[in-house]
Amino acid sequence: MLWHIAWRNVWRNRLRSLVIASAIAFGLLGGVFSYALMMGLANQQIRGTLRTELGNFQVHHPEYPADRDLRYALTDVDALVEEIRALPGVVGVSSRIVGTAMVSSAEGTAAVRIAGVDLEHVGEISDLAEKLVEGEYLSADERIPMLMSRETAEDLEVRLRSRVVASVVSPTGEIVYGAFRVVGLFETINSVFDGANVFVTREDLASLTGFAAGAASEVIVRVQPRDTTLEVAAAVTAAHPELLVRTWRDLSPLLQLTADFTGAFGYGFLAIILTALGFGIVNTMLMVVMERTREIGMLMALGMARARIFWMLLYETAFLSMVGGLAGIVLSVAVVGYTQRVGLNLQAWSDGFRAIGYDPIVYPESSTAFYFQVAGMVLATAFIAAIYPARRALKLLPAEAIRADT
Amino acid sequence: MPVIDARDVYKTYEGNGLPVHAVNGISLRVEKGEFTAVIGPSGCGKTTLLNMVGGLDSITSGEILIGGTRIDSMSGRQLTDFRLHRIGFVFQAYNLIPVLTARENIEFIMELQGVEAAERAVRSRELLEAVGIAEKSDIRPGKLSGGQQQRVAVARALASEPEFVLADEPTANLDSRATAELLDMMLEMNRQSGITFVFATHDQRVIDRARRVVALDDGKVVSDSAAR
Repeated sequence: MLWHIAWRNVWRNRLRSLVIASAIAFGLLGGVFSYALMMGLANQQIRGTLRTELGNFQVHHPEYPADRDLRYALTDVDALVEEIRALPGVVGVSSRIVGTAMVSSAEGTAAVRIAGVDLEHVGEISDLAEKLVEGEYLSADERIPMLMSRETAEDLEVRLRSRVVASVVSPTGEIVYGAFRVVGLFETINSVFDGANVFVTREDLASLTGFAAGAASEVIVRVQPRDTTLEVAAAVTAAHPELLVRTWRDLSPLLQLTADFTGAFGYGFLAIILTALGFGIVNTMLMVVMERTREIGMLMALGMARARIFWMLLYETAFLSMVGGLAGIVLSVAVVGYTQRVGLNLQAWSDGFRAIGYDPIVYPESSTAFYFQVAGMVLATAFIAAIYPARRALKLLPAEAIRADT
Repeated sequence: MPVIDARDVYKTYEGNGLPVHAVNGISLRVEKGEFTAVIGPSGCGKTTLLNMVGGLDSITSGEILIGGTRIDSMSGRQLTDFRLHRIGFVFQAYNLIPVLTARENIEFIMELQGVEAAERAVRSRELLEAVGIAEKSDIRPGKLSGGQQQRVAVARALASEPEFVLADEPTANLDSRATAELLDMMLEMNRQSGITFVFATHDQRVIDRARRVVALDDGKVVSDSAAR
């Protein structure tokens, strides 16, 4: 009957209960949607970076990361690629020669990272072909083809089919020059990446720099699901302890920070909203206790144990919060679900988003488990918020409370 | 053995730095089956006396025994349990739980006592019949008249099968007819079942029907019809 009384008590003052339940519902909607938006942004950035640029992990010569020198190459790389491809969870492997270059046109020069990709397997580890806004992807049919971003092309004032000259430091330390033809322009969600990278074929770059046959600077590996990255990378390390295997977290500390802190920040934001709602609940329940002083005194007089009165008020708070919480979760599921389907177009801030590697069309993300966690957080907030008013009620003296005006 | 045995009871408050003797050395014995009215002007100490006898208020000195058990030295938890099982209360303002129906208000006390649901249902029906409002069993207090609410309050007080019922100004909010009907009902219960009632009242209609009248003034017993 305690539950029964508590539930009916919630609806004694319908307007007040609806106001506080609505506050909880809309507060939750704000918190959950913010969380989903942040998770959507972060995951899009992580997925985009992994799919276009980093892969889940990369294999290098141990000396390579220090100065990214072409001297430190992986030998017999095709055999290594096939060996990694055979590991469970691996969905794509490809090798690249990577160096630094100055790309020049008649109108300007750009310092970039030049990557010579393996045309046969590059599609397994990079979706750059899908990011083309003009022209075609690299192909063996073209002579000395190069891909650059639209941004770099604009800086160099070059168009499709224009010729540019790349100067690259060879493995022997000499600066070598090679002409390339711009065959395609790409644009990713990350303008920093776009401004800093050009792509050519592995054969052309090897030929230009005198790179040994069968050698490459790095092997890029994609695995699925993402959380098996460490496991697969460890298998490669175990098989090749002489090589340096680094996951995307090691390769991009900023991405690691994004992955680790976005969720925590989202929860923190939600916690702040729930804390604010908690104060609203405290206020409401204090009013309830003040209004029902005589009734509480009567219950004490009749022999209702203080612990039961405490629980009755706790249940009442929990019910009130659950009504608001449930409404908030239903609203959140609807709003997050809808925006997840159609995307949230933030094109007005497109330049800013691209500058930090985010897609201006955001698809908020959340999970069923998250909604259960939110429900738990609401309930915990309700119980914590109910403690102070309930304790106030327990301090009442029955003989005095019965005579109260309320 | 008396149902209530208050021995030289004092209750002193601090009021503006000065002691106020709300109850000033009262001794009172109430035997089983009595129908007693404690009367006196406002502030004479009758409600304080009832609160102390009912374990709602502490005493400053003296002893209070209920059915031979001292209650003045009990802990708060023991007193709560004691009130639940051995004392019935009727208040001036009815004090029913507004979100429960008449029947649920009565069953609530039994549930606190741990009585099984089936037995609760039987007893609540009997009590509602006894107080003459069986047809109102599923109606909430807000939709009952004052007299009907007080009848439910009496039924609730009896639901715990107490040793006695303390009623503090139970007729103060009732009109003449409802007062007469309520008192007739309580007297009938007293006559038929030997239920002990102790009233704090200054309602002449209650005083007229009480079998024993104890008059207080300034926290002292100034007359007791049982002594005459």
